[in-house]
Amino acid sequence: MNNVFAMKIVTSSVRAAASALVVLGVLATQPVAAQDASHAGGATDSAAKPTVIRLGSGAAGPAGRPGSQGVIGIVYAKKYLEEELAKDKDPVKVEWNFIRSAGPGTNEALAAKAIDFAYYGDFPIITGKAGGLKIKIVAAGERGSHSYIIVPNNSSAKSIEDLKGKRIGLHRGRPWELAFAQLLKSKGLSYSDFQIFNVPQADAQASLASGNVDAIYTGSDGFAIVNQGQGKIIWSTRQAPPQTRYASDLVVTEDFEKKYPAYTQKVVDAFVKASLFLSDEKNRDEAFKIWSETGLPYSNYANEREGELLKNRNSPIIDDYLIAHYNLAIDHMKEVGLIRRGFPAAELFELKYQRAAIERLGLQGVWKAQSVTASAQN
Amino acid sequence: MGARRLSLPRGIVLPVILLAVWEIAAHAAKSGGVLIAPIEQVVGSAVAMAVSGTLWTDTGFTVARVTVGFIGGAAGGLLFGSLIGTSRIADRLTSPSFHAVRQVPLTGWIPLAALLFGIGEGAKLSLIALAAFYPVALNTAEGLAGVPHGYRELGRALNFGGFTAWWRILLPAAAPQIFTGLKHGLAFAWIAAIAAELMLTSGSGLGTTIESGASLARLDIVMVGICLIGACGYIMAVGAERIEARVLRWREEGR
Amino acid sequence: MSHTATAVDGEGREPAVLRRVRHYAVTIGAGLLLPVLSIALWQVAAQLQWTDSQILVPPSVVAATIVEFCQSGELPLDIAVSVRRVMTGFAIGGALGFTFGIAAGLDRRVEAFAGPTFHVLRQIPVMAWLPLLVLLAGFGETFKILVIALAAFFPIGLSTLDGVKNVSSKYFDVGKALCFSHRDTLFRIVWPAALPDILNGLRLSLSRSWMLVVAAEIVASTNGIGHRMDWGRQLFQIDIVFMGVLTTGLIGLLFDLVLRRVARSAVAWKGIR
Repeated sequence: MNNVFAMKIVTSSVRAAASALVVLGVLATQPVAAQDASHAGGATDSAAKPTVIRLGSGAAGPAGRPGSQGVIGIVYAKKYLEEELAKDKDPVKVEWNFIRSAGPGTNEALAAKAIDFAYYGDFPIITGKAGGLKIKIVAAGERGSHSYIIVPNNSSAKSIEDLKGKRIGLHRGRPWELAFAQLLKSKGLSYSDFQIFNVPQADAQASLASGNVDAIYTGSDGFAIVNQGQGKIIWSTRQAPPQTRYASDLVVTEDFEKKYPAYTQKVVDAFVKASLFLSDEKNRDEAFKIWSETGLPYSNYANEREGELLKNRNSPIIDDYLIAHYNLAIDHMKEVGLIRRGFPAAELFELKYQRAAIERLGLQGVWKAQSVTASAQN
Repeated sequence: MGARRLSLPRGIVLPVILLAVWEIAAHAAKSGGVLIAPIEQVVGSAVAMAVSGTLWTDTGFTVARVTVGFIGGAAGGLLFGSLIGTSRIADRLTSPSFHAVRQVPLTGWIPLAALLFGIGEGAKLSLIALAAFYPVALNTAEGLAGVPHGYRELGRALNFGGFTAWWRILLPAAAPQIFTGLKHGLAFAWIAAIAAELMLTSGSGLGTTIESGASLARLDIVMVGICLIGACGYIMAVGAERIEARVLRWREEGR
Repeated sequence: MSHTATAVDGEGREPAVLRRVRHYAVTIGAGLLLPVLSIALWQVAAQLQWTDSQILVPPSVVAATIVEFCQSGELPLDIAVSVRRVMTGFAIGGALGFTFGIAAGLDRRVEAFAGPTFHVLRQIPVMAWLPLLVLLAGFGETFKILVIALAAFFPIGLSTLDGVKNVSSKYFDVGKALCFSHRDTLFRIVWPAALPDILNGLRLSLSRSWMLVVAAEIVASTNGIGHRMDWGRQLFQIDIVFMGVLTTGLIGLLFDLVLRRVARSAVAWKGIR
């Protein structure tokens, strides 16, 4: 090999690299660029209009069936949002995304900036925020949602302690993981006392039936297993303090909220309408029917909400109960190592929209702001 | 190297034995646990899916993804492989990074693809393209680097510019090796498509079918999906061989 | 020319050692240029918020995470577990594939009976078998080893088969002329001739095995590097995902380098590079 040539390559490469690094070094010492300093249209231009509003929520049933559970499922089915937007001359389009792996998948969609709003559970909201997502909860959706330990019919296990060392199927990152973690804590147990397999919710029934796991921890979809005679519930959050039950809330990206506050309000308005619908006991049957159109059995919803007042479950108010719930959750998740840095729950909430919505729709007094010790059972 | 002349009479024996074992096991495993679906159930499901149309949509989606992803990845591979195959400097600079990134298993890129592209086809297509890219790039580079000096001399003698020399001398000379790369790239693209569909379950496709079937404990649906994947993969491989034979025919004629 | 005259060599050219050192320095330096620049650019971009630091987590954060996981012992443990699985599955699948390749390559009848099934099954990506296998084989080690063995079996089987079949019949004639026993034919004719192909198959098998151990661990495991990456994904800790990507990449690179070294020395006598 020609030495002169080689030396030329080395020296020019070194020079190029050195200058590149110098440039980068200079850039790196600049202060972090200000956000939105010269945003076209101005950050508070209330006339700003998005071309499309993109929502994301969990796809519940078999692949291909549009629709969601929860409050957002009602918003979708009854077209509340489209109604709100139709009041414009040139209505903004709505794009609905039903995400299969609801919690983690929603975080991914938010990170990829593929959606502006999301409706999902407290646990993944917290992991998302802790992981750096810039999101805000603008309305409460559902609270007090139950989750269950389900074992095969012939299992001798009667409690979580009986399952020590056994294999448990848990869809990691989903909302009910919070209740699971808190159950373990209350019994002085930890994740390492079990073999915890990440079993996607859709595969839970098959895994239990094939004997791959000794127990499943999951939400209301567990009733499908039970009602088909494939398993039994040995514990549920009905036996646990109310704060352990999970919540699902409406989240908006800080970007969208800053740019389009008027439209954020419209979405919250539509959402609160759906909460109102869900809070009326007369609508119980219709609500369950709407949710079962996604392909999951009607009985899932009926069983899970049995004996409980819908109004207490579906208050959109971000009240002391909810804030305390999130603070508890964040502390606990940090303690157990499920998130790496904690943060005050207050950072998560943007209170003005749901307050304004209740005012504008004249719904004061429909829901009571729940105190820290509230329970969905009263 | 993909398709062989399958000697029918003796080649059938083994599959028949396997199918018989399957059938017996399916009917024997009755109570509890997951039932292995007997062959008639698999066939029945296949027919039902064909009639309802899902069979065709699923196959169509997967084949479409493989095609689009493969074309993108192979094009990139051809270009990049040409670059490192002809320029030593380029090779020196990029080779270690290229090989290091190649070692990351495809399944490792899935979470990042999901984060970058969110919901939708982008994530899957980028994975498929990535899978096709490497074999094509490697084989193109090797093929081009192996072109005898005499050919390049000829190009210079004929006053061919860089691009003309590449297009009319180097590429044809390296063609057999490049085609090997393309065939491998296609195989990898299939693997990536199925992996992506299994792990990024949005939209329809053969991988999604298998996943849904498994979660409903419908092993007959799973088997239909697997058989279709095998069949499509085989057909595409045979197709690739045929195309290769035609394109490279001119080489044989010269001998 | 004068700047190279640092040596004691009478002819004024530098000794071979220095030349080799310089050669390595240039090669390594040139090779590292791109990665180093990329990482630097990435770090700056994340700091200046040109890119989203949730997705493109800054290298500094990833580095800190790696240190954290090494200190707690979790990362080395995960790596050990995954590597052990790969080695076991690879050994099993590789041995079986090799046996098949030799048998079918040498004996026409074996190829006639088993060949078609092999070639058809080979078309099905091992990933497609995962949902089925996990339901049948459960969540234990068996499942993972089985998946890896399956992944290793086909590439080695195919390249061994091709390698053996490509051994020129002339070589076999020589063997017959020299009255070689079966064993002699196998070890002294077939093996050396088919070796390059077999080694290529080994490399492909190993990289497939590595890909599938990650997938298998995502589907059904409580430990291992694939599991760790999935944990990071589900809990939205992307720094862990990056840690996994880096680790799997590096280990894969190590495997490949080792195999290439082995391959090179194994066929050195042939004069093939």
